[in-house]
Amino acid sequence: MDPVSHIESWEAAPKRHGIPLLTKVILVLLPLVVFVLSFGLGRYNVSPQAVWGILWGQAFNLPSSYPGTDTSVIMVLRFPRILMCLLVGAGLSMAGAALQGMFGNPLVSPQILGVSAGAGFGAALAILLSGSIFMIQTMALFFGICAVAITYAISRFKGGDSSVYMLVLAGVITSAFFEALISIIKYVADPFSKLPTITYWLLGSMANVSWQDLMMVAPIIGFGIVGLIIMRWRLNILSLDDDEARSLGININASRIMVIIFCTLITAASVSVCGIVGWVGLVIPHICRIIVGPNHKNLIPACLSVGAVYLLMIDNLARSLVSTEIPLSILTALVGAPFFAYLLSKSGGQWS
Amino acid sequence: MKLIVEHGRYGYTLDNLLYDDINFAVNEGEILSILGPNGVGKTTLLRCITTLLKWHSGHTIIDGVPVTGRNRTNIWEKISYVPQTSSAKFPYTILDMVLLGRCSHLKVYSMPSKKDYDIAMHALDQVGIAHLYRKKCNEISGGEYQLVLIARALAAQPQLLILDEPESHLDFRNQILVLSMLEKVVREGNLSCIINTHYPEHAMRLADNALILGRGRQYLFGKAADIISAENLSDVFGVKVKMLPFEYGGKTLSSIIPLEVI
Repeated sequence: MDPVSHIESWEAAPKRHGIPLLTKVILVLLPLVVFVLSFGLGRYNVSPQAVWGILWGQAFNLPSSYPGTDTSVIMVLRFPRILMCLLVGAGLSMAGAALQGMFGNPLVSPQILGVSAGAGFGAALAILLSGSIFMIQTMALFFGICAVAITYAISRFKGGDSSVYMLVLAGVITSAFFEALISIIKYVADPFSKLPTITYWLLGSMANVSWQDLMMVAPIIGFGIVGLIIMRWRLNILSLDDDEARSLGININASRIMVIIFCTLITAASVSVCGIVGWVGLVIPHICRIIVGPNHKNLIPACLSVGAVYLLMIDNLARSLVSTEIPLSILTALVGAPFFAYLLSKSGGQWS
Repeated sequence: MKLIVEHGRYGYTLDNLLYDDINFAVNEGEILSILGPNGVGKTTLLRCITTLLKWHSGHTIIDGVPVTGRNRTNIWEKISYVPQTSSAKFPYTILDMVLLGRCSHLKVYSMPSKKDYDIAMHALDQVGIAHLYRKKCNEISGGEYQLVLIARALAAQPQLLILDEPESHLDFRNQILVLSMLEKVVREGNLSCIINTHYPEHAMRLADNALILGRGRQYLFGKAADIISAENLSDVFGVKVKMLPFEYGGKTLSSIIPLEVI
């Protein structure tokens, strides 16, 4: 073969090499479509015209001709909840993809470093102490970050650089410890008032999300999301062994700490407002690898889109399927597990 | 560029040193080949040279400047390292993989640009596998994969190329393919090169100088043609060796045959 002619035919390659245009368009449009449709879903029926009219009226501050209940259902209950789903779904999926990349392991989820167990403990403790919503959220955030700090410290016990292997084991240790603490709290909690609250909370729910919650966590999750987007190409290098990554000229410890910080902020902030939402951060990266391939430069943006859509659709089911709210983790797994099994049977577990 | 190792001392434990006061140099455009038995610390030596491991004492000196903790990551702007096997856990495409070599030239927050894609593509062309650029890393042969790793190293536009046994898992044909490709790119680009190998023949064929590591912190450093001899090889490897020199393409090559363990 004549190599030069290949170079010429390659001229347009970088474009061809990215995400195909059609996939790109779908990834951009899908969240918007699901976002708009979600306003009309729920046990309380609001017609599409009313949804549109209310949103339009609120945006331009027009006098409303719709019933006050409709307006408050849309503006107070559904709007912040929908935004929160998009944010948390996108964040957890991206954190999952980043950590799976960094650990070079498909079984990794954002929980790997102990953040969920830590945050869960913080929240459970706050509920036990009859704390306010604000206290529950702050303690969840605080203990989530603490847990990861402990994990990181344990991984460096031997001094020197913290290897990926040590991080995983340290994460298992920290998770086990905080899960035991959660069990103690459940054991001593009042079985009629506090225990159900704790249990329900640990299963994850968007039911009580308010604008105030959104204002509190959006900057934190947003910061993590932007950080991962900026680092996304370098995640490819972090997925290699230490020496190989270093020899490509990356400061591996600093990069790793950055990824851990971004993922921890996303996960801890998510857990602090809507409890532990499992499964999203594990499965969405796999689905996205099937769509756009393993290159993190494309994978991370794809996770943003697909993760947001997935959690929003799951939450739509959670609030409209039956008359009481279904906890999110139950649905993410009940819907996600068979779907994932189907995908695996199609792809044979190949990451491409 | 000129790389000097001065009074290098290293061991995984202090009472069991691999090298004590090791000295050698690689000048611009020179190929140095490192030989030695298993477990003598060939890979470790490469890691010390590049300061992936820290010398207990002594220095690596690059263009007159000793490499210290502070300028440690900067050396990768001049040096490229090709590990024995790559640890890629995801099946990136070949172009994506080669593109990673551009990392040392990019700012932390920046993405590879069109120029970086061009450089990566040119590197693939240099090693003769540009046509494979869209394939995935798990879809190509071992020889091609080694060429991908060399292309990735070249994409960093280094002045010194360091390779750890690039030919050791390859068959006959791929060994010669990889080695001659390597010789071509190194000579064409006037690069310096350090290469670990298990094959004295390859060292003779390729290298200007050789460094032979022996047991008990002994080493030999000199012109490859001088120090790769039957006596030295049998001393270091502990086997009886027969060397059969012959002429090929205006060069003296040797067939080196291990006969029996001493």
